[in-house]
Amino acid sequence: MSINLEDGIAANAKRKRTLEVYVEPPNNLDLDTYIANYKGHTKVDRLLFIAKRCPALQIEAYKLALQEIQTSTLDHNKYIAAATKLNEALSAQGRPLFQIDSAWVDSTQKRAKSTVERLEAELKNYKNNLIKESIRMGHNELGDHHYNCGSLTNALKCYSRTRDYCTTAKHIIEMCLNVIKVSIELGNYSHVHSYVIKAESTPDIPPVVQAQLKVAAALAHLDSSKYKVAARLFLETGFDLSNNYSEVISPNDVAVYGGLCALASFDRAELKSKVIDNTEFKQFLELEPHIRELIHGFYHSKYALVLDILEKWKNDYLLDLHLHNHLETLYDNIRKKALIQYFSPFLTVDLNKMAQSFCTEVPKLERELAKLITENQIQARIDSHNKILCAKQQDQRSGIFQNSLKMGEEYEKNTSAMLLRMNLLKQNLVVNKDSK
Amino acid sequence: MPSQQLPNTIEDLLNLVSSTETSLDQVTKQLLPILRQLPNSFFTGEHTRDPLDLLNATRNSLVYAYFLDARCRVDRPDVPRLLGRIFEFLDKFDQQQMQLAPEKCTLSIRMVDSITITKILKKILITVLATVQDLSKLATQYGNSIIIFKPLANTIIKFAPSRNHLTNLHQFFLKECLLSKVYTQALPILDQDITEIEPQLTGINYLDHLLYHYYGGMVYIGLKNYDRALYFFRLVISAPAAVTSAVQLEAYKKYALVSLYLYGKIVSLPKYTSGVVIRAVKNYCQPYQDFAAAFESLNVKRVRNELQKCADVFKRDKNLGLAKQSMEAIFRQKIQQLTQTYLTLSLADIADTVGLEGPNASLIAEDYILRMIETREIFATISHSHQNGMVSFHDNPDRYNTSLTITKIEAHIAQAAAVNQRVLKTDHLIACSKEYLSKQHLALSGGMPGGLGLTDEADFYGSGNCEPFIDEGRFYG
Repeated sequence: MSINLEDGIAANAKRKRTLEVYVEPPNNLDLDTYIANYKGHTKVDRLLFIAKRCPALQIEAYKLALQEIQTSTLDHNKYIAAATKLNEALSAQGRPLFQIDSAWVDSTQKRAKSTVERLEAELKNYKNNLIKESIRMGHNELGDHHYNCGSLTNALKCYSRTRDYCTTAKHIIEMCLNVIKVSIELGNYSHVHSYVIKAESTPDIPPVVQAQLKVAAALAHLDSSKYKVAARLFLETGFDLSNNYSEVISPNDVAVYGGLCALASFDRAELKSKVIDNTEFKQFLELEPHIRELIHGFYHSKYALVLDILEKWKNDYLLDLHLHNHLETLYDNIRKKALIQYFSPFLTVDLNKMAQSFCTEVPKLERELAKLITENQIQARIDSHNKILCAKQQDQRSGIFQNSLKMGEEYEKNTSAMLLRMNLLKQNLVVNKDSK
Repeated sequence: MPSQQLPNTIEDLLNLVSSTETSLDQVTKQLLPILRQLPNSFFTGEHTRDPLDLLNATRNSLVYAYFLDARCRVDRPDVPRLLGRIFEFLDKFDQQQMQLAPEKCTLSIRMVDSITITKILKKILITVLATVQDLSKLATQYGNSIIIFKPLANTIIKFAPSRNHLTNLHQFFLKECLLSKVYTQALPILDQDITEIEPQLTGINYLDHLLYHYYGGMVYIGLKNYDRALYFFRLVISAPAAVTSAVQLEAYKKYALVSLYLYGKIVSLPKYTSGVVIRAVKNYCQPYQDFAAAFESLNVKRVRNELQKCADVFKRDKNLGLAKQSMEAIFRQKIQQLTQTYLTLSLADIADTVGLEGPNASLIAEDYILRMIETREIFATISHSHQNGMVSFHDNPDRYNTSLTITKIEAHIAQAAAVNQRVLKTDHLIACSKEYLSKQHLALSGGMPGGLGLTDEADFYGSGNCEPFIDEGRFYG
């Protein structure tokens, strides 16, 4: 592992760092089956992401990506960029270079250009005729085309412009979904938030769309590290989603993201009521049995199993387009919660036994616990000599005395200061340039 | 009128003085204008007998002060004799005469010319200050500057309308204390919180307030009473300000270091701190804030580096010693933290966690712990029966069930009640004030819709003294 686990640095700092990270080949990932769950841009993006971060899968991923770009998009820029990267990788390994399909590039370039011209002319025509529906369609088509060519900002502009020409709720939802799709790809999650809200306020949303909106909102929250909200939204996602949103996310992802976020942010009762007893989410969990196992293991306090599963799948998740940034924080939180939960029923715990159940050594565990105690997450103290963790005996009476004495002093000080200040103001003794 | 003629000799003056009544309005009306017109040399003129022998320091305080001031200004004053005189004067002077408190003046004077009174008053205040300044100069020449402090402190207490009043003597006194390093002498004055500001009575300006509290903070640092030092610096920084005073910036620098020493971070300033000051602090005290940021990370290496980086600045500001002290505080804070986390821990482990380095790390750690146990910052026992020395941390053995606690709490309640009295008084004054009443009147009778008066009132209390009242309830409850 090339990530330094010891440093508990804030998520933002981590984000910058992880861009440079290389991941060793994952244990469970089968690239073909994994990527078959997706289509469209996210498929390409995910492949390129894996290629960038995992040298072992690099070549295969680039090849699949190139294939996908060629068959389903008109994005010749991305094609060339990916091909150059692939050739770099190939030459580094001393293998024959990949032949760039220049005929395709040229023809696509031309086709893209002529289509833009055609669509823009049509749109102009529609605008002259002032037919709302046609104008909307025109904008949409142009947006679709831009999206296809990979110029996302232009696509976003076109999609947003349709807003003024929406006449029915269906149109609004369509516009919102388009904007959300492009925004997610652009990483502009604040946009996602506002358009999800807009879409949700329209009447009669079909269940599929509802699920799509939930997932989009959840992704946005995940991005801003609000794991609890994200978890709740993932858990509320209806199974109607199935493969209907594969240009953004697969149902497997919902299970993984939702499961991890829930583990990292829910307490035990919530875990039971919102995850384990959630019939809708169970269907998602069927897709990723190890996540189900993980959650059950956590709930039944089999921490060795939990940590084992987490460790096994870690590399896989580090290659996930949306999850990679947050993985360390999520894992950290899950581990912390496990430690807290382990200790909760006891007055004293033998550190040796505890270290065993967490598959770690005593000194390391001691440090982890010390950190939790300083963060006030566990009310306990460590007997380092006898290697025992003891729950803290709270003496409320002394605490109240201490607090009230402190409060009294504060009160005196603040009041005196305030009186002085009032009098200063009253006499206009203000620090000033000339009024000496 | 006879008073319009200036006396030609000291004899004349003395006659005039003895013929004038000692009542306040007479002194103000007749003597002062004359005294003010006489040149300094007049008072040092030759005379058969020492005029000061003929004058009574209590009854003729004003004239006495003029003589003293003039004598202090000659080239070679007869120091021992003069000191005796000044002490006698400071001991006996009539503060009413020196202060000319308006409420003591007869109504007629106030009505005649309140502006002149203020002017006269200022002159007198300056005279006292000058006397005091002369005194310290003399004492320094005499080679024994310490003798002045007791009389000075007494003067201040006598001179101030109440012990909570600030006078223009305060800051001067503290400065002398600082210069001569006699910090304890300042305590009787410093331990009284200043809350009353009346420039008409005490001739102060904003600088007096800033300097007094700034010097006060420094005195408290000298006495290692950091808590109170912090409070004093906070008063300086949060003083109402339209522009930032250099005193405030210096105060902030010391505030930052003391705050680090006590709490390991810069304690946030009161909400009412002026925006200009906060901006100026950002611009001019950057090294201090960097140092604080390093400090907050509790990373010893980082703090050491930062201290090295800022050492020049700190040295220039004469704060290096303080910074080094707060550097030590980091170890103490970390040990304090350990008591929350551990029941037992070996000395070696403590040294390691705290960040002490070198071959003697455990010994240094032991030293810190011993000192902390002594000062009752932590409660622990060290056992050397194990090879490395094992420290067991205990809870605070004070269960708050002794008579000591009761005494302490009662003292606090009494103090709080005293503060509360002052709050009530202020509240009463405000309730009686013209501005408040007219506003109330306006709100009630003006027929303004939406209860403008009510919202105004709430606002008014919020900025003034509503909060303490709530606290008060909690305190007694």
